[in-house]
Amino acid sequence: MTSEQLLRAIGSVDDERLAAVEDRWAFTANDDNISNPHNAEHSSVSKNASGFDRQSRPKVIRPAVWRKWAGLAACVLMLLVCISIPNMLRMGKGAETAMMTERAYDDAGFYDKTDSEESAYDIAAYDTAEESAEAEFTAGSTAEAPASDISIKNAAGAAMEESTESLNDADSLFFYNEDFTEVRLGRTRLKLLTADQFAAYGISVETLSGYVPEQADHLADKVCDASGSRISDADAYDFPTDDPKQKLILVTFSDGTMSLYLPAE
Amino acid sequence: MRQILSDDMIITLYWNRNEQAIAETDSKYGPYCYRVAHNVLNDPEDSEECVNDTWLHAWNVIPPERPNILRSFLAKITRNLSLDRYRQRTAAKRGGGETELALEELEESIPGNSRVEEAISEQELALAINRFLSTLPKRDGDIFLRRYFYMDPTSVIASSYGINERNCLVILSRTRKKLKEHLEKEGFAV
Repeated sequence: MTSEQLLRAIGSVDDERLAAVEDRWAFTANDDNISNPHNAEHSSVSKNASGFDRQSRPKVIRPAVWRKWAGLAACVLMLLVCISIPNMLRMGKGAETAMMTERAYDDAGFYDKTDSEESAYDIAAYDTAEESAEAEFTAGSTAEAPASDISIKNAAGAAMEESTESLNDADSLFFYNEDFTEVRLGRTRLKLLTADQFAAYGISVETLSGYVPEQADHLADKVCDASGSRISDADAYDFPTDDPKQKLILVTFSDGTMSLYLPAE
Repeated sequence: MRQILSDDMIITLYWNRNEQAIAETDSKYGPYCYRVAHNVLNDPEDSEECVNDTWLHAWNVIPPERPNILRSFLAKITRNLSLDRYRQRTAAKRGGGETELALEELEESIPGNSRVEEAISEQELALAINRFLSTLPKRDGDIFLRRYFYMDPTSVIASSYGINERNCLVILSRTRKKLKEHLEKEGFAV
């Protein structure tokens, strides 16, 4: 007996046995590194028809496959982390500024939650709050206040703080108009800062760098994405001018972009 | 999309001497048979020729044959034709490849004092191997056939069963040893 005889004899095993092996293993003609002229010609037909595709391979745990999936998952995770870190940093910076503003109010003794609770959220309420703060100042209730603008700031700031709180509920936020030049946050209407306002108030993009992208581009992006965007956060900031009435609202959209708005007059 | 005929319908075409049978067989089993041939010959042109020879051979034997499992039937024809071609090709020089390795490996399964070669019936030997395979665990039997019927490289077999190649080689080595004992027990050694 020679090994070739043995090899040929193995070729005479039962058809059923061979078929069973093939069924368990799903013998495929498209496997691995064989350049098969039949594949180009017939792959879409014969592979499926004869059932020799990879999907019907035996259900065995293949460590290599798990390693591949684990590697892929790790890559996706890393990508997500890389994407979110800049946003987190920006958000952190924004939150820090908001906190400093709030602390400044507290330090000055002007931050009064009751005031803000009594304040309405729409622009009329804003005005009312402003007026009441002025009246309060006039009556001397804020003895240490150096100027009326601080009280105004207090009332307006409280209203903004309150509206900001309510804004964090994404469901309560929706866009006021389709090009995002006006946004309604809860019951507070905001208007997008225009390029003219930037100029008039002496705000440059550089001043706001880290908080807001270049307005024109940003707006264009928003308009393109109008139907799907949602706001993920909104923070009130001191307007970087001497105008105490102004409160800048930094709106963060769910895609990570941000816009600056002013309360509607 | 082209309709794929069932094996029964293809066999009926052969029985009706309809040449469409060959086209249908080629369409359904061309890649499969090519793979079988390629594993033996490791040459695209030779493999392609073997596949074409397989269709001709099938045409010549069906009828009177009526294969139970057309796929296995064609695989056996392809394998035998490929081994013939391999033998012709390596008559002058012995080449490498999986077939040569498989032959070398099987040397150790040959009983020491075998019967006179001419007296050995291949059919008898095949029956003995069939009986041997039924004694093996399913996985070991599959690995054995994938190596010595389809002549798949051990690395490919190992990866498809989730084991390392070394492990696969050990399984094959043990199986060959068992085969030798089995053949001796069946009287293939004097």
